[in-house]
Amino acid sequence: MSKILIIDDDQLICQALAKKFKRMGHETDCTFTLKQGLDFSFSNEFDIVFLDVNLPDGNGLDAIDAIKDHPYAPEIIIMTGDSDPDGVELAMKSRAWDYILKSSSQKEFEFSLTRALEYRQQKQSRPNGKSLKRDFIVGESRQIKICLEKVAKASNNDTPILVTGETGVGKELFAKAIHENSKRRASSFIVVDCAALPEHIVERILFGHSKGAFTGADSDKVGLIKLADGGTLFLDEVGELPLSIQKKFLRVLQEKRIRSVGSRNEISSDFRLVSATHRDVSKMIGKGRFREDFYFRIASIKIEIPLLRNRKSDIPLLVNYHMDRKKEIRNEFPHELSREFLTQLHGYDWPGNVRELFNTIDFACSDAYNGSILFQKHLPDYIRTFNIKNKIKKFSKIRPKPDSGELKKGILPLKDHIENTKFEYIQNLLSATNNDIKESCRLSGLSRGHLYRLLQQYKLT
Amino acid sequence: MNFILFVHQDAVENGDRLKNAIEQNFTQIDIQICKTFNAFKSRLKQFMWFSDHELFILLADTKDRLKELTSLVDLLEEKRLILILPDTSKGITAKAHLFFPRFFTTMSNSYDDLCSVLRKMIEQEKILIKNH
Repeated sequence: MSKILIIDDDQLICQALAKKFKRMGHETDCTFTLKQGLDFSFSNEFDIVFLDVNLPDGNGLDAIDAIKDHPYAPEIIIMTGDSDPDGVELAMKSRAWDYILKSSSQKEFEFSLTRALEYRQQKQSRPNGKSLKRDFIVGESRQIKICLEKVAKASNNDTPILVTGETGVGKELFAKAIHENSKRRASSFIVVDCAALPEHIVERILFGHSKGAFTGADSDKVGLIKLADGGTLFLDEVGELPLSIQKKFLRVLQEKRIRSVGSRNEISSDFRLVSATHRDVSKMIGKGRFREDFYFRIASIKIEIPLLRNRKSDIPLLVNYHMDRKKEIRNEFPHELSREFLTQLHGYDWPGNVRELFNTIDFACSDAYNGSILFQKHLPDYIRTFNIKNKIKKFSKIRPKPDSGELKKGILPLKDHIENTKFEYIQNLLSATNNDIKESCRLSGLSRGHLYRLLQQYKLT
Repeated sequence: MNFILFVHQDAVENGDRLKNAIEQNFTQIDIQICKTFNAFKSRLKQFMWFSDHELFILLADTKDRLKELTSLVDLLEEKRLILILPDTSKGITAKAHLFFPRFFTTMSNSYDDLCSVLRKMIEQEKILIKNH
């Protein structure tokens, strides 16, 4: 028996569906507003949630992420009276299982529910992100969890993968995690930095060469592709690979056989290919700087690593992880973080991503020297300047003319002021508890459901 | 860009060949040389953060030297490095990739490939600085 929740303001539909699902042997609950539905889904463990789009107190599509973030992560089936193509796209992107029109027959509802339950059963029976060997991948944000789910799935097969993301997001860590979780983990993980290889040597570095193939080739040399035999070949910065090599590589991927420079014989190499790039490869294809056929070969699975500014809730975890590593590896003087220090880290945009964050922590620790607490004063000037400028910008938006003669205009309505204060309170609460929901509830005295509702309201999920 | 070379004092001939190849080809580059594990370890602890301007070139002239270097792998995390290996047997290359090297090669008389890679890395750094 499974547990199903229906969130719809149309009581007749709720009753009809509940009756149907109960007859199918499932425990079914109904709620008629989004708020009730969210409270109910947070405090129970549902397998499936049927979610209406147009609810009296909000749009169901906006609640998908919050419902999915529940540890039990129910499958969501969106139902609507309108056939809205944009809504369909949003629902699917938000990890909803299905999208069904209310005018569909009961059989169609039954079919959608049965399939969702089958999918859920299958999903629960195989290892999930939590059992992954994550190595140095730190974070519990939704974005990172999605990536880890993809890593878990990708590790079970040999399909070529392209990892994308800006500089400093940690693409190589994900590549390594794919290898470490695959059946090839006992064999080599061979890294090739395509950006570091000059065009005239890249072929023989990858394919190897035989004795006498060129001046100075005084012996046979095995290439990196052959060295990856049985293991994983990681082409870092694959966007820099010359076009002529892309063509040759394409053949290797098709046939799993290579011919070293100057050799007549082919040899086999059974490797799994993982590539990474910070470039927009589709743009490169458009400009004729990357082969489309090669791209489709290497990017059967794509994993995009999120920017740090899009997963700021992971900052406290990343900072703690880095501080622990420093203490463990370098036996460094331990520092504690002041609340203002963390607030400053949250405020910054991190164009250099996790790498920039770690460098910043190192800088601050070095600046603090023997002082046991890191204050905002220990941060580089450019970060503090950025945050101050940002604050002024936000303040100017609220008060476009902070003229002393018109001070009255700067006074916000009490309701808005209370909302701002509540928002800041929740932000500080999460920072202080490192996003620990249980601890946040204990400190604030809020119920779990109330806290989740606030997180959703202030888009802090 | 700065080069930080680890060439153990016991790797006499091989070490000299590598030093000469680099010093002769890169006269404008600041090159620091560490000749013992302790000196190298201290150097690694001295500067912690990742830098595009530093490149570590490590000569593992024997299997044992590579094994010893492996004990420093945590300190080399996030460093850009190149490894020179005694050979490319499976055991050696498996160990080499624990370092996440940007390039690895074996000991040679001329180090032509190594110098080509270093030149490209210097060019890239110039582009990076220009774009910044």
